[in-house]
Amino acid sequence: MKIFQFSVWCFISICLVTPWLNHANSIKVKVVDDNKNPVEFAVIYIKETLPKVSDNSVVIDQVDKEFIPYVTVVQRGSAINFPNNDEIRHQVYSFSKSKQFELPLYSGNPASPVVFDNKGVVAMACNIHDWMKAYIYVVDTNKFTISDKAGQAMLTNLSKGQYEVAVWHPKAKDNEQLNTQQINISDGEEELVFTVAQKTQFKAWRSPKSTRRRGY
Amino acid sequence: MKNSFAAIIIILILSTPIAAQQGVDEGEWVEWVSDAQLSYTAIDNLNLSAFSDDTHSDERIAFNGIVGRFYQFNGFTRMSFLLELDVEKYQDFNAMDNSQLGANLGIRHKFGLGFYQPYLQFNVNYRHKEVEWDAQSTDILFSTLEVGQHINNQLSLAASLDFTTTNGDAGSVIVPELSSDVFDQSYMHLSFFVDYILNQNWLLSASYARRQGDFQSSCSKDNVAKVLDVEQVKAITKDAIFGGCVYKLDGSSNIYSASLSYSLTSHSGLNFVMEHYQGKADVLDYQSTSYLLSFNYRY
Repeated sequence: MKIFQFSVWCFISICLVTPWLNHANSIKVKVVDDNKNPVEFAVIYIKETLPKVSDNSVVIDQVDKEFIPYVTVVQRGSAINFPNNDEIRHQVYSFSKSKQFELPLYSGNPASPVVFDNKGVVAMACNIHDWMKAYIYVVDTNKFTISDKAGQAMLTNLSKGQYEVAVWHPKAKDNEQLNTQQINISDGEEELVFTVAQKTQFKAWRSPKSTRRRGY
Repeated sequence: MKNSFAAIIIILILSTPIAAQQGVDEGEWVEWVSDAQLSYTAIDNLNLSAFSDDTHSDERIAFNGIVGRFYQFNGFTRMSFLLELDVEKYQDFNAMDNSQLGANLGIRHKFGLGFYQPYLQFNVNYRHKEVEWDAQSTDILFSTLEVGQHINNQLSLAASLDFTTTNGDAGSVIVPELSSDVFDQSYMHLSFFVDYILNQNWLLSASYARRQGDFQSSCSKDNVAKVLDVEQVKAITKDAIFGGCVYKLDGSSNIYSASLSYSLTSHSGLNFVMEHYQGKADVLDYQSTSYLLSFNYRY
């Protein structure tokens, strides 16, 4: 009887632990430019379509007349809040095909978040402060991440299997052709290096110019 | 021309409350403005003499400070109310040292939502300039109408029309048949501006202005007779700064300016401005060049 109980206990334990073990795999990604310099704000994601996982905590803040963060990635169907933590008002808008929206002049928290139903790039800006720019990248999966200042990022909780990993960056020279790599995950941590050629991107000038022409 | 300009200004002022009502929200005071500029300027032909043997050059350091606040009517129209203080100190010609205290009212309207929408801006500015040589102290009133637009992510264009009137004390009469109110002047500029972002740290700007109206020039006593002989001098008086005479003319000028700005942070920058003034009255040419290096901070 004791042997039977022990066997059942072992079976249940294995059933509980195995899926966790199966998802304990990860991909360490490094994103660099043509000169091998680290690239920050690269969106890295698994190319697959997964059902929407509820996530109401996505926030794009406005601080010191800048959007924070500069790049946000969300799964299709996600809602994003745009609190304004400046003591002034902003007017946030986007003309992008993936999502066109406008938050008329406001301070504090807007009445409701904005839902992003279509995948793709959403470039947003402020109508009052022309230099304010930020990007939202909408994907079909919930397996995504963004590279840090060192150009590094981790895709975690992956099952064993074959994946296609894609990288997008707002300053990539060729954003029409996604930068992708295939990877086979067996056990533990795999590593991928992406090279993303960068183009110069311009924001409206913000620093003060000579007071000869003040522009107020 | 002046009447048309005044009419545009009146229309703008009257239309602002209408524009405000079109907004989805009520207007309110929004961000504060607090700007400071510390600059060094080298000026060639400071006295704008028409005679090469009679020119004086100098250098000056200056502080310009602006405080004020924006009033946002809606997403497209905002008003600025600013107080300005300028202090200029010259290296050699200390009699030109001056301080200016002024107020500026500006209204800026953007024609719609988006980066590429053009804007129209009106400014009216009043200031008192207190000069070390008191005769040159003046009250200055100028108004500007500017229109501009981003052409692409790097290029912006603007054009402006401004009118200035200065009102100072009359100097001592030295030519009986001529007025001595040299520092009462009125003139206008039609200006064109180009801003080109080289990269996220460097901005190249250029401007051209056509100036029409009164300007002043100084010359030594030896050259006064030549001036009176060939130019239609409107007013003349003694010049305590350069030692000869200072006189007022009506003429046209071309002003070319190029500047390079370096962004230190989003709130501060370095600016280098080169400006060439090329004026002409009836016969004589009046040319001057200045080089300005400034540190600017914006809160």
